[in-house]
Amino acid sequence: MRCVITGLSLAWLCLGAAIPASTEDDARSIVTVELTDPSGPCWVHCSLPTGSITVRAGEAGKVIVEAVSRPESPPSERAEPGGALKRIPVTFSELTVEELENVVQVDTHSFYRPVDVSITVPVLTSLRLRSRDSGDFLIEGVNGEIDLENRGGAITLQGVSGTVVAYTLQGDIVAEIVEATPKKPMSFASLNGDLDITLPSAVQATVRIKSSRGEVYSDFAIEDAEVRQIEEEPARDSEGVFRAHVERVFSGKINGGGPEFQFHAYHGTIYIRRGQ
Amino acid sequence: MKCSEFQRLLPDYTTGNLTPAALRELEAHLSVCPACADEASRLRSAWERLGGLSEEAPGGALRTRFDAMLAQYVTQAECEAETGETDGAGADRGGTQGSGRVGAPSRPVGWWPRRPAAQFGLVLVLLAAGLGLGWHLRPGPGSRDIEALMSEVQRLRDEVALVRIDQASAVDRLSAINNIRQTGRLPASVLETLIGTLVSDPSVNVRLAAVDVLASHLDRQAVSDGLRGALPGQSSPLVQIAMIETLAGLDDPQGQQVVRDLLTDDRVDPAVRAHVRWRLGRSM
Repeated sequence: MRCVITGLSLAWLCLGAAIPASTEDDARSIVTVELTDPSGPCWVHCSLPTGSITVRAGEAGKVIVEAVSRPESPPSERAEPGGALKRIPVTFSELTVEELENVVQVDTHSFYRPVDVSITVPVLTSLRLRSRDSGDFLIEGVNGEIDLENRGGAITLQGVSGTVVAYTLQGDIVAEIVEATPKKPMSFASLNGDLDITLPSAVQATVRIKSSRGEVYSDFAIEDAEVRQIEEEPARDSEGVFRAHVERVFSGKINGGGPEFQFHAYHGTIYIRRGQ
Repeated sequence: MKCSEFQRLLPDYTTGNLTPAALRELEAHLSVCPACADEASRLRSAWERLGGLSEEAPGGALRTRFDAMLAQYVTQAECEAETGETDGAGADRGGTQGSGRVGAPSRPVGWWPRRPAAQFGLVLVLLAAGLGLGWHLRPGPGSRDIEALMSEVQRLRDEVALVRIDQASAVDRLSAINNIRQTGRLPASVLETLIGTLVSDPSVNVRLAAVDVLASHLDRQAVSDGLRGALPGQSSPLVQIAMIETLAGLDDPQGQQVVRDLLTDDRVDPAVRAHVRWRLGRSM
């Protein structure tokens, strides 16, 4: 079964009226998708030009997508016309939701106004989420392959299971992973943010850590540790900027070793914590 | 032990030549590692196919050559016998030692029989011994099989890496790249695929892993060519910085120029440009 639902939040273009599972107000679109196989695992792919994404584990068999267009800030450089003219808030979430055989594709095409998307999914759901600007990711309680890329904000994962591949350009990555899929790798990378990753205490992994300018901390006992430190004399570049470059590459085994978990931070600090 | 170390035991495991301790350890690993278990299964299948090949035997040409050589020797021995009876012993064939008579058979050592029939018999014995020794020392079917087997395993492993690197899931692609790192090998087809990954994989994390593997093979010209080609179009600042650092490990003026060009590219992230300025002011 293929299901395609499009939401435009202009009151006079309220497609939601024709789709019982979809409700909308000026800035909000809600779409409920019944999965083709309610008992099977689910995949959710969401890509935003700008905005945040929150995913929470909820009821089995359905995915609920809520998109909220952020309030438009009043145009400061242009004077209000005054008199009888009132400003009508124009808010497009431009939400599109498609489902085919338990794969749910969520998109918004609003390049100029950030849209905040909240998605409720079955616990057994794999995620592929992308945002280019202006928003954080929050993922709670999901079990699956979690693939996240956020260029405009932070990533927080709470109580997730499975595997995580996550990248941020600016924000921190904070992850609490309660169970890791055996034999599967993970990867965390950030240009400017910190990596603060809590792994299950019994996890078996071989860690590869690369930190260019930050520190690395862990309360795991890391066996067979190898550290390669590339340190160069501090110097001023041609524009007089002082730079010191210390790059640390670290590898070792946790609980006897296992699949590779990679941690790569350029400016940020890396924390690898021992969880429950 | 790592998977790669266990996989080195697989040929002996397949042929039943492991020690009991190694066998126990390997079987324990195979029970929990699907990748190695698959590899063991493929190896066993290849071994069974090889078992169906016929045993090698001397061909008809060998018999023909042997008969011709024997006939020639008999003729020559008869001629020499006649000459020996006429001219007596003690001449050197090359004419440089002894009496210096051209064409005379040599008598180099005391154990060499004087009678042609005895010479012929001794030659036959020596020939038989040589053939027997050669047959005994030949590269046996076992070693050829193992060689073929290892080659087959390597080819399968490369194919598996190429298939897995094309997966939809970022985790599976990462897994494939990690396997490539563990093998320590980078055949041309895999190298090409890794460069392709660096250019077009949608996941920054997967591209970073690809740079990490390529950085271990900087002695390959194709690696530096690939890095230089992929750097300008790279969309992730973090991957760009990793590539710049990898190129910095090469004494490569072309690579330096590609890095320098980033300074004038408006699309490049300021953090990358700052890194390039710093890097160019350093060792590169």
